Amino acid sequence: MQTPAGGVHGTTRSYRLCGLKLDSDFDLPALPEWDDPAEAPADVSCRRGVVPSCLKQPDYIAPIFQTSSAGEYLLVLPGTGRILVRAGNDITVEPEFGPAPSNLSTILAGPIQAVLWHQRGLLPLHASVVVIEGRAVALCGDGAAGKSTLAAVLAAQGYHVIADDIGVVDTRGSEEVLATPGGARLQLWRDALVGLGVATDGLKRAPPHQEKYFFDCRGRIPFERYELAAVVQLVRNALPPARLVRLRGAQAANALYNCVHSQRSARALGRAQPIFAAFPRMAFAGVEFWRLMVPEGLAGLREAAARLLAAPKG
Amino acid sequence: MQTGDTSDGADVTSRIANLTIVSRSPSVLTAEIDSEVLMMSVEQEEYFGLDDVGSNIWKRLDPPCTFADLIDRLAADYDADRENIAEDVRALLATMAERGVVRLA
Repeated sequence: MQTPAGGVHGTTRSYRLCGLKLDSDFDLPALPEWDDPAEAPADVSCRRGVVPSCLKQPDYIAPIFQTSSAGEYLLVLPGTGRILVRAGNDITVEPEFGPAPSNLSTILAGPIQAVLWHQRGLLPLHASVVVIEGRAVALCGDGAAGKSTLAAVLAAQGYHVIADDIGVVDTRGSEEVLATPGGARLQLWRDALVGLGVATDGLKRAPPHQEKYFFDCRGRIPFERYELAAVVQLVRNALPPARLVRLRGAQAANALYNCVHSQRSARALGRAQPIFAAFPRMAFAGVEFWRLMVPEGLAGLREAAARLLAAPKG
Repeated sequence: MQTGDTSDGADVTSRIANLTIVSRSPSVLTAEIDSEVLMMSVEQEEYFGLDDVGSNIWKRLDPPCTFADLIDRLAADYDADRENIAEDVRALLATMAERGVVRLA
């Protein structure tokens, strides 16, 4: 039975995973709770269970993960546990010491979610996604690139944030590339929140960091997908002023390739060709590629946001 | 002839002689966008772009051929000095070999 707080069914919690319903035995605070009152069956399950230490017939073995031609992905993290992902809809977790370790939710919402999307034939980018003039713009970069804070700066100006950290893109259509709304829950450092005028009192901490918090942007998460207009590669701590440079050809392709989430795992799962083909498909669909040079600090991010919004169209 | 970031491939250049057989790497992925051919070696995980002249050379590497044959055909088609073409193509092939998209044997 669903509680008024939403999403909790006994020990199972329900979350929204880019339009899919995820039932989980583990707390996943980075994901929005399932808020549809309808008793829909789960599309994806994340259960506690027994996970083998190796796959029966692995065709790729890396130091911490294995894959099989059957589409299985096994992650073995000493100190954390073992996680098996199958067919893009079935996650089994065996924590090493019984209770869920503190970093588990980050791993499940991050690389494991990315593997799940790869298995489903979609392209997860290491990106926060913002809607500008009705179309999606993916702000890409690694963990310290400032993509969430830049998204927060844009959200403060009224722009709709539809994904944080993982931006799921569908390149399978013949003419359009679509971004799937994930959630508007940003993970921000205390300094960024203070700079944005947001009090951290009452905000939930984002594990495993002590000084990082979840911040929900306003607005309900839409179900409909957005046409992807641009992929923006963030380069942090650049010399001022903020600059926006258009990327083309191999430079643009490499920028995109480098922001594909968990690409080594994806390649092991046989996704090398679709990942390679993602750039030509995006270019054909008219997606633009930019590099945004972001100076240090919140002032630098604000200046970068202004540059991004002033980008020439077409 | 190539676009994007490239290295000079100087040490490989000296390995390319007239009888060197030049072939496409079997593990290369390619796609054509506008007038540019994009390619990536599965091992090296980096896109490599060729402009229309580079793309023309790429198309002539299937089936494999010797470096001398390749230069002869290019010199005939472009009506250009063989030595100049050889120098440019040798440098391009060296870079492509370093990027894992062609093989030299």
